Amino acid sequence: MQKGGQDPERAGQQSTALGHNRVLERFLAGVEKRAYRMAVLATSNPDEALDIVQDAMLKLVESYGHKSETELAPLFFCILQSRIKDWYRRSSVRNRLRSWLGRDDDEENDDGLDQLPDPAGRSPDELLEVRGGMLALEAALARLPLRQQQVFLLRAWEGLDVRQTARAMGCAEGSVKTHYSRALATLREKLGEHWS
Amino acid sequence: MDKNKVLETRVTEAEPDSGLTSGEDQRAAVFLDSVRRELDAASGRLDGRTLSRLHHIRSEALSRRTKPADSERSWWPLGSLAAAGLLAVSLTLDWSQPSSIVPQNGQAEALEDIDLLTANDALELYEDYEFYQWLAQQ
Repeated sequence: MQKGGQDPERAGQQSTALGHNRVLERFLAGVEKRAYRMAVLATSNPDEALDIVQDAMLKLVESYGHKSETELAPLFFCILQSRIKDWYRRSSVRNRLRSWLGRDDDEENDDGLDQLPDPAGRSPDELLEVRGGMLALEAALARLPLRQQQVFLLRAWEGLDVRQTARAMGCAEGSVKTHYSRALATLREKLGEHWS
Repeated sequence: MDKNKVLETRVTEAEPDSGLTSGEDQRAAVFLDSVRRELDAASGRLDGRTLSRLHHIRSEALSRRTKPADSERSWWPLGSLAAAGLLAVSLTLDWSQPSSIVPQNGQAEALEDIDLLTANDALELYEDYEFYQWLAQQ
């Protein structure tokens, strides 16, 4: 019988589990905003983006929660990209169905919110100046082919290297380099006036 | 690691594919730095509702990791009981098995008879048993 009735093996397991939880929490807290922005850029839909982030977090915790900190980022982004691709497939099917049925969602979503003034009271010109760079960047990123967009964000923003990005994207390292350089060239061409 | 260093590394890695010159590398690095800062700033400007939802999502996900451990712990007593039962059954089987394998009294003699009947050379020895017994007494 151990002193104080504490089994060292069990205590060690609990301590390890607590350590993993802390690592996971720190990782998820650090990555959640960027993951959300990536999902928004891919879907242009904040609610869908939140659902995608939620699915990715749940999958990571349930299936890979025991992995080391260095493995979490490629695994998480692999799941996230997979969820984004799934969303794309579902949306394209939905859009095809809608086009066959002849429905126009733009009319349904015209709720007038776009016409409301800025809460900070800034004029459209001021808003354009403040947000112009970001709006242009978002628009340019959103127009990139999905794989180029994903590779660019993972490499340039998330800081994954070529190998990690290839693992996250499920493609060859050569493809990552090609997608990245094409995305970079396109973005520099489109955004040159903002950041040259 | 210094983010600018990471940025430079990334641009250098892209060089063979992009065909950028050294000056272009620098401009690309500046461009990428601006993009990254802009994206970081945009993430920092998320509204309260989104931040709250993200916090909730993270907490919910992390609770999924804690739950299985708790449920595993709650199954320990039942698991222990089941293991004890299995052990008892296997011990019972171990005790009963020898009785069917190891011959007892008459069963042993019968087995010896079978051995003798099936071994031809040994049978000849037993036929001359009385002769060898007499020889030994001389």
